[in-house]
Amino acid sequence: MVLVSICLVSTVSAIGLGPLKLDITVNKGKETELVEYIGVLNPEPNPIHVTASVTGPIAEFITVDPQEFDLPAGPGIGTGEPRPAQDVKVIFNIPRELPAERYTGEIVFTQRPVEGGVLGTAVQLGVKVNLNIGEIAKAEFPLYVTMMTIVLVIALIASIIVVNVRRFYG
Amino acid sequence: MTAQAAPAIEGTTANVTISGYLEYINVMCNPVNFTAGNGRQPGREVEKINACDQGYITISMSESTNIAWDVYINASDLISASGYGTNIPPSQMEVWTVGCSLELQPANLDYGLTKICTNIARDSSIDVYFNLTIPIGQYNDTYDGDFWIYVNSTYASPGEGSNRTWYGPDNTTVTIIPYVEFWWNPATIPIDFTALTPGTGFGGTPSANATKPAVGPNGGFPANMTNGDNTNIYIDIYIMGTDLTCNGPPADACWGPPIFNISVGQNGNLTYSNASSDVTWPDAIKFVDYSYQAPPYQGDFVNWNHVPNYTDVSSFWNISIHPDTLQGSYGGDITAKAVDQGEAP
Repeated sequence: MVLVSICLVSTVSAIGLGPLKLDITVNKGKETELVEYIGVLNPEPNPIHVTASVTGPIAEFITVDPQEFDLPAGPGIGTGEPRPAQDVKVIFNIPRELPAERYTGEIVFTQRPVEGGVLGTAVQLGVKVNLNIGEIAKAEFPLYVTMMTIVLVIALIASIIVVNVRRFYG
Repeated sequence: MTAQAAPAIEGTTANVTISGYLEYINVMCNPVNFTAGNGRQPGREVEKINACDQGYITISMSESTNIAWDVYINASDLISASGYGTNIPPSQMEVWTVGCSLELQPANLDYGLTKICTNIARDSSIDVYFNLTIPIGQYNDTYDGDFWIYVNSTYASPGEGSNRTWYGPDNTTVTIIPYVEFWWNPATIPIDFTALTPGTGFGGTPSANATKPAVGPNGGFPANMTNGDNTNIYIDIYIMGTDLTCNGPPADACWGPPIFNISVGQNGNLTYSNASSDVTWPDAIKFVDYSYQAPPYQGDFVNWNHVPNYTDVSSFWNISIHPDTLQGSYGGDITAKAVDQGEAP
């Protein structure tokens, strides 16, 4: 008899993550560097290894540090005890020539059991990222201010002409 | 001639007593703000971070203080701004001092006064460090509380100046953000299909169910995924997988090029269910796919949506083996993903 063997290893997968969303808005035409932090926690009573990756159009502008790290054993579920944590730095490098648009993506954190087996299981959590590049705000003045400015400019030009005419004939 | 009497010299003694006096309490690097960036995660031990970018406040007495002093501290609950979160009691805050001649052990704060340092020289200062252990599953919100510093002295004269109090309203604060803690615990039931014969699940034979009794070493139990006790939002759960590729030693028929896979994908060899027990299997079945987002979203079961914290959802697993599958050991990956309720995976 030909046998096919398939099994899933008996190791726990667990991960904790927050925040679950980053909304960033910057003005167009300005080179910007921003830093945000994501906290990754280990609840399970074994050390875990976590990898981070960035998906979507946002990937071009984001650096994640560290991209891969270990966390010591946590307390387990239902203990009420605090968890060991790693703050992951998310650096946004936004070039000035980027057009005004909305860029989206996700920073995905995956935890696979450190000791793998025949068929691995993993848990995954992600931070949704929205980067909004906005137009630079334009100053708008009330109509009467604009009109007064025009009148002043005309008066200035007229006075210059009058002075020069008098000098010429005087 | 009579001798004149020497003039009498009259005098008095000037006495003055300087009383032991405590002037005012000076507090620097306040408030005690535990929030970094957008906020903190529940179930985490965090230090005071804002104001001077330090984990401490500095306490001293103003210059007219002329005696050594003792310092005490007490605090109120941290109260939820929206009213939806439960209050965080002061006992979640731990303080300790640096610069105190008689160092005391770190102490948890209380509604009543806790002595944190004694016999501080009149012109000295102490640094008081603060840590907050955010309770498990604490609701995402901003929390504010008050704290008081009380100073007295065994050398103080009775009356005004024998003790002082400093009050910091809303001076303890922390913002807690949405947070998910997600578990997949195959330790409770390794999904183990053991050894199968080719053709299992084809031509009218039942597929192999890893979660049925007597199939696999831990058969009879579901593989649980858990929204952890520390999560402070509702979650939705999704599944995706890879093909099962030949792991086997070179002796296996499937080993070496060409590698033969057991395809999951659209062929639907590997399936899972949200059945509440193996008795009700299969009350709903989905094929494992390569993407969470292959329409419809993988894992989109009603009872896998809007899952509250500290809650298990069960999964039951089946596999079918095509009749021409080569002998060997096969493996792959299955990944479970939790998202904030209503979000795409």
